[in-house]
Amino acid sequence: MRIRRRRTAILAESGLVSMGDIAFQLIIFFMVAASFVQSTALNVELPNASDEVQEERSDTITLQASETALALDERPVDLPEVSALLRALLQERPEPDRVVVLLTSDDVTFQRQAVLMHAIRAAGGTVALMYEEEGP
Amino acid sequence: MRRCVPLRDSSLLTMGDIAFQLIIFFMVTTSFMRDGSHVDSPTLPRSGTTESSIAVSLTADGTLTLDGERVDTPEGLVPRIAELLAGREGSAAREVRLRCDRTLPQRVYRPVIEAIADAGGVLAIIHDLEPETSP
Repeated sequence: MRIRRRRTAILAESGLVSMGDIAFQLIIFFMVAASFVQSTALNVELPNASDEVQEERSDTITLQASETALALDERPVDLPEVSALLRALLQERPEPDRVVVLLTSDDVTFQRQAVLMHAIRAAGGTVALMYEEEGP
Repeated sequence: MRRCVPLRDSSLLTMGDIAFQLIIFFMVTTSFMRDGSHVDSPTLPRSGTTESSIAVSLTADGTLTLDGERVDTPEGLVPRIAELLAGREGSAAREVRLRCDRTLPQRVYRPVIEAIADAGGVLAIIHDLEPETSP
């Protein structure tokens, strides 16, 4: 009789302990799964090739970039001041006219392209991508 | 002998715990492989987030994948992304994750960006966060 009592007590304790372990692991699992659902991202809506060609405007802002140089409406600028200059140019324009054409040369890396797109977005602009074609 | 009996029981229970941990481990590693783990993403300040389930990956050696499956040319992405986006309304629903190596030049990543735009997708550039600087 004594032996039976001891066994029952031990089994009940170990069941409770493992239940705690499993509950803890489930918490970790859902925390990990939740962190996978969201990622930090720069969201850019681009016009596609099938969209109607928009009328070219004389006051469109153009940010021209190579890997080493940068020009805002053909005026050389430095990267840290781009966002502030764009904000000043865009602040009095209504929403549909806040398009900034980002014209990049063939050597521009993805890092630089992403930084420039972020600067345009941060200034409240809408990104339109254009690329300089390599000559024959 | 009496002491050995409960020890055997508890080792059976921990074996279940270990098996559960192995399941989680393989689930996590599989999701890394699907998203293309060997991509050195660009570094930017915090901008936004995406919950898109469509993932395009372009590695430093030019390997292009859509949801873990290799795609031979960027043009091949257009019908497949368009099919995945069918019936989705609104910018957030049409986001496509782009995980692209930050050192790639424009001539390599440009066709991929154009393919996503042509398929009607909204570009969601996955990036690492810049280390925060104290004011």
